[in-house]
Amino acid sequence: MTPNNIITSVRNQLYLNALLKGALLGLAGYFLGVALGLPLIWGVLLGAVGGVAGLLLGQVHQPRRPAAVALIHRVVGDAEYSLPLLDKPTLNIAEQMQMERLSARLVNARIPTVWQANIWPYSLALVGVVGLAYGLPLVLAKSQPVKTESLTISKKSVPEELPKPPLLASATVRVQPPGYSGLPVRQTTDLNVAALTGSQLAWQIRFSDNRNLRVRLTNSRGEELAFRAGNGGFAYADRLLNSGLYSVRAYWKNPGNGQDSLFYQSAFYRLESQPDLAPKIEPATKELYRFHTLKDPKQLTVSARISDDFRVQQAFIIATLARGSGENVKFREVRMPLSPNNFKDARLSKTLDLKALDFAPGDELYYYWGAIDNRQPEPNFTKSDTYFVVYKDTSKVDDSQLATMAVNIMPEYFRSQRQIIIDTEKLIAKRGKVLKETFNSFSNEIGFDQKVLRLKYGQYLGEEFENQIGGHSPLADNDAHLLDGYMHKHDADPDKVSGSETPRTFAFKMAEKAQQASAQTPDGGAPSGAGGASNGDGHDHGGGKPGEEKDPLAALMEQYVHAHDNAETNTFYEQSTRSLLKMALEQMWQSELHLRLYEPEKALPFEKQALEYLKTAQQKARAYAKKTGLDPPPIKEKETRLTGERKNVTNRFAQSRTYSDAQINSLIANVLGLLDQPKLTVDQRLIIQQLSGALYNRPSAYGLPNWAILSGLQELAAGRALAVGQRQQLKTNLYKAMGNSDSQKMASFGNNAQLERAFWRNL
Amino acid sequence: MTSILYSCLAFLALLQVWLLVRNRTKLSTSRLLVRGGLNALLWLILLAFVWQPTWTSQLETTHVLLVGEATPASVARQVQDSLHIRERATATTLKPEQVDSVTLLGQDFPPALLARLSRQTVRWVPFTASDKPIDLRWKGIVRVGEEQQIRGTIQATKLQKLTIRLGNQTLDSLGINPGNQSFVLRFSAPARGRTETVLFRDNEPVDTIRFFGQGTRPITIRFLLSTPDFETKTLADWLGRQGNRVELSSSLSPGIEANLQINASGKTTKTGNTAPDLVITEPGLVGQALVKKTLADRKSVLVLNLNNPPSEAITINRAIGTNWRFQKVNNEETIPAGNGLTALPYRFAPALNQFTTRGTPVAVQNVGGKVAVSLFSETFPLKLSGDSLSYSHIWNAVLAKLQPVQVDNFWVEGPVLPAHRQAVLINNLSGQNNQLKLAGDTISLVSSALNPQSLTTQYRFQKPGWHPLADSVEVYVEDSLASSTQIISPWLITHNQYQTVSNRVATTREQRIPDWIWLLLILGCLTALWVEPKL
Repeated sequence: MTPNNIITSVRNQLYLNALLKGALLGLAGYFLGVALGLPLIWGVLLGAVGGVAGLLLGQVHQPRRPAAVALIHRVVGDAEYSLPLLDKPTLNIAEQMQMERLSARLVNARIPTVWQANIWPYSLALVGVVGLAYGLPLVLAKSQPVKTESLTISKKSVPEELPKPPLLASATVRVQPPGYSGLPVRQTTDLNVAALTGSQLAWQIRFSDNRNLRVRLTNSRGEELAFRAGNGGFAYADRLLNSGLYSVRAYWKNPGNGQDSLFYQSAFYRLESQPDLAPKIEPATKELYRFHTLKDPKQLTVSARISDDFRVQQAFIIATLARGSGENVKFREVRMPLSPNNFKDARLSKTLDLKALDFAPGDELYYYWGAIDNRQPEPNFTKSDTYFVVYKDTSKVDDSQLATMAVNIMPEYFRSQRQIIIDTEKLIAKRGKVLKETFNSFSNEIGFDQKVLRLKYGQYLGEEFENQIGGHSPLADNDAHLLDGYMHKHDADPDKVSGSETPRTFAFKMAEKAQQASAQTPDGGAPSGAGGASNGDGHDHGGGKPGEEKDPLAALMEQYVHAHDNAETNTFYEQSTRSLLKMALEQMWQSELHLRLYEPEKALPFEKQALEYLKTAQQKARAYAKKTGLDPPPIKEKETRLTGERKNVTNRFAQSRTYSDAQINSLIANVLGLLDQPKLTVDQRLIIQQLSGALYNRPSAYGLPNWAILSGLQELAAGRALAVGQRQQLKTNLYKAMGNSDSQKMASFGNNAQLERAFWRNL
Repeated sequence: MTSILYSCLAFLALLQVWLLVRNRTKLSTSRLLVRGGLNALLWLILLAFVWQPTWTSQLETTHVLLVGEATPASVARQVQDSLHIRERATATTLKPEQVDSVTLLGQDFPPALLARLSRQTVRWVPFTASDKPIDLRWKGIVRVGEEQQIRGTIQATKLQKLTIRLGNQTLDSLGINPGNQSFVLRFSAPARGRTETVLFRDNEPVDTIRFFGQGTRPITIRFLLSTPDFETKTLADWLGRQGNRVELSSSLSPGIEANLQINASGKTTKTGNTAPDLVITEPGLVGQALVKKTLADRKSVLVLNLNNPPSEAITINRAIGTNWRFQKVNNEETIPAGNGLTALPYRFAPALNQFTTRGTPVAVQNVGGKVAVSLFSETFPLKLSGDSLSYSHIWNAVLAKLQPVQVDNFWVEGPVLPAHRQAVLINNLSGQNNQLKLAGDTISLVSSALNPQSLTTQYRFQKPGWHPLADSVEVYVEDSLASSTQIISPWLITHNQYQTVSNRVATTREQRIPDWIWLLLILGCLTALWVEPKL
């Protein structure tokens, strides 16, 4: 073996040694990491550091040949410290001889084994660290069971120590809006619910351990609803009907001591019920009242925009036709459905065919839009304003026109009995002074007046017309409407003027009955006199006739005319009155006879006699009508009056009332002062709870409860601290909720009483 | 002591002489002279050190303009020029020892620096930054509903708006025109307890103003009437809506009474349980015992529904010792009293102890308690016509004069600064003790000589924050940094008060040689003595 070979071998062994040391230290580093429970990356890093350190300790960074030569010199005794000669490029003779000698001696020399030199401390370190890494957990694991064992033993003696309440794992709410809305089902973990009224809500709450739990849904007043256990959690389902605040509470029955305790209370969440709004109708025209004239087209087109937050199920127009006037008004209602149906937002128009509706002059047409939406179970209904279309009746006489003609209405030919007497006396005085023809003519006219008067009174005796008495038709020259002037037949005339047959059909049933009744009278020729008069009697008889003289009997009778058409009324007089009237009529007959014969002197006594009878009848006709109403029991004057006895009289009328506004204001002022407190006491929380209740139950005149305030107050009452922004907002809202009290208090100051009194008294 | 020192010196002189003469043979005369001189010098120096010579010198007066932190340099330069001050310094650069008098400019000086200026003559030129509300003052304790006033001054350069807000709610706001001016923000205290409001200048928060809202006892009002009428019924209703406790009893006939209670607390439903704070009655019933008792308790009485004032005045005066006199002003049955209301055609004859309330024909006389007489014929038409605002206005004005005296009236002016003496005024303290619990201390109160109901004390709050006062009230103490003006002005007052004495002596100064010169001299001499033989 050449010296060169030996040197190379030893050098390689030295490198190997360094590598071994590096590996061992690296491994030791890694296991140190494991032993310390560091993450893998840290272990690897430590290993790398150890490896590098080992390599450096093995001096791999330096050339190892000199070290190998030195080692061989030390270990192999025959080397004679001559190995550096190998490196010499040129050798002299002595050196060559030495080299040869060396080669010869070294042939049998053993190569020293140095690769494992000084490796044991490294191995020891590795073993130690590995022992640490794997022994420590073992030791710990060994100590653990001992510990639990001791606990299980102690559990029997002190059982309430161990169990811990479970934790909230998840809480979700599923909102299923009503089917008709078409809204999707939502499932959220945000327990603040704002959904359509009628939505189906289902809460699902899970805890880390669902045993021994009771979960409740509670409102702000502390009323509770139980959750149903099952399916690995707790569930509660209900329909959303009203708005409010709620929170979830969970009670845990401690298995150790069997005590039930509230261990979880969520924040207060908002339940907001959003109503399905009724459809919205926006008619195109804003003009509610319009006139229709003869010339206008008979087709009326109206349009409106109808919309709903979901769908409009149906839209329609309700038109009402009113005909007639006064009490004689008849209505006809027509419902006109519109198309299309089931839409969200549409502009609908409709042409009203007035001809088909039989829209005649004087009629009025009212119509409004209506729409129902698709809400279940009861749809929302909206109606628009009512629109009026009035068909101007140009033929009708206006009341205002009548007013100016009032003087003309009263017939001149009417005279009272007293007037007839006066006229007759005047005429007698004129005899001889005027022409005979004139005289006769005047006499005849007075006779006519007498006749009219007689007819009038005759009417009350059932002698409707002369023909019933005398059997002839004296009114032929008077258009058969002798009494028109007295009878306010405003309405009967237009019917005649228009010549239409229709008005009869719109008359009141009462009127029709009356008509039928009068039609059954023997003479059906002129029934409209009675029937017509009753139809439209304006009920305005009292003193409305300027031309009429104050005949008391006439006035009296007039009241009975109000009984309208019924001829029977006339027979309601008692017998003596009746006969008196009849006697008066007879006198009138006689008077008329003489007047017609131009003998006013003869007529005068009859006239006077008639007047006397009429006056007597008037006196007799006074009736006594008993008052109706409460008939108090007679007071026993002697027993109770003026005795001064007040035994059974309540002497104290006590009444008590409370205005909540000022109290709520005072509560708000209190709570405002508490908001800046870092921590609230139980009493202070109670005040907040009171305010919360008061605001919640405030009358609806103040609008909906303010959820922002209420939830803030609930948070405070539950003992939670509010964030700065939340607190500022709560302050603002509370201040706004505080009613504006305009009373300004003054700072008060107490003085020395005596001094003050003395000062003011002696000032 | 000095004799020992001087004997030591004498011994030293002898020692030196001996040392000099011990080996005279080796030395030349010149060296001997030098050595002798050095020895003599050392001895003289030591003598002088023991003797410690002092002399007085005329002080050179130095005047410095000390500029506060928040004062801009341009202002400082301007003031320096106009006051002809040579030097200018800031809080960090000033060396108080070298300065004899200081002119302070601005407010922001660290208290430690002010403490070091005790020797110096100090003048103060306040500087206020423009557009900043300063000198804010408010009531530290207010009754709920009472008017809180926040006063201050501002030097505005432009049109701006001052707003006071609770949360985000504006309580009062004020437009400020350019110029130097004072301002007042007023609002009624909204909260009972700690109230934190923020002063904004154009949406920029300037200062937080904290005060305490003290609760008020609701007023109990008793109507004493012979017959019920609509006027009193409306008034009772309105008073009830204001949150007062109202009791209206009227006798319908002898022995039969109608009784109405509004806002009665649950327990005292029986009549007459609580003494009323205000009795509202009519002239015929003024002689009743309740009225007299109410006045004796220094509570108030309001007389309504007069028909014939001159004759009724006699009744009232006789019954309760007032001196009402009425003068007829018109022959009409009624005269207008504003707002469409009518009053009896009389006016109150002027009297020194009677005061009319402005805008209403109602006057108040103090007879221990207060007696008010109303000449209104009726006021309810105002309420019926829907003008409840005017109605409230009238009766609030009247009731303001008839308010009962509350107990435990505290007065503390904000801001309360820590470590400053703060006056606390207490009026009508419940309980008769002259001690008060304040911020964990018990302090004794000094009662006023004129008014034993008024008590005062001075207290120095130590820590910032809320401090309890008595049982129910709290006082907020500001952070010391909050307001510098309030710190510097009392300091300056105190400083100048004591400065006047020392000011005159401080022109000359006694001077002596500093210790380090002594050290150098002695060391130098000793060194010379040590070196000299070696040369």
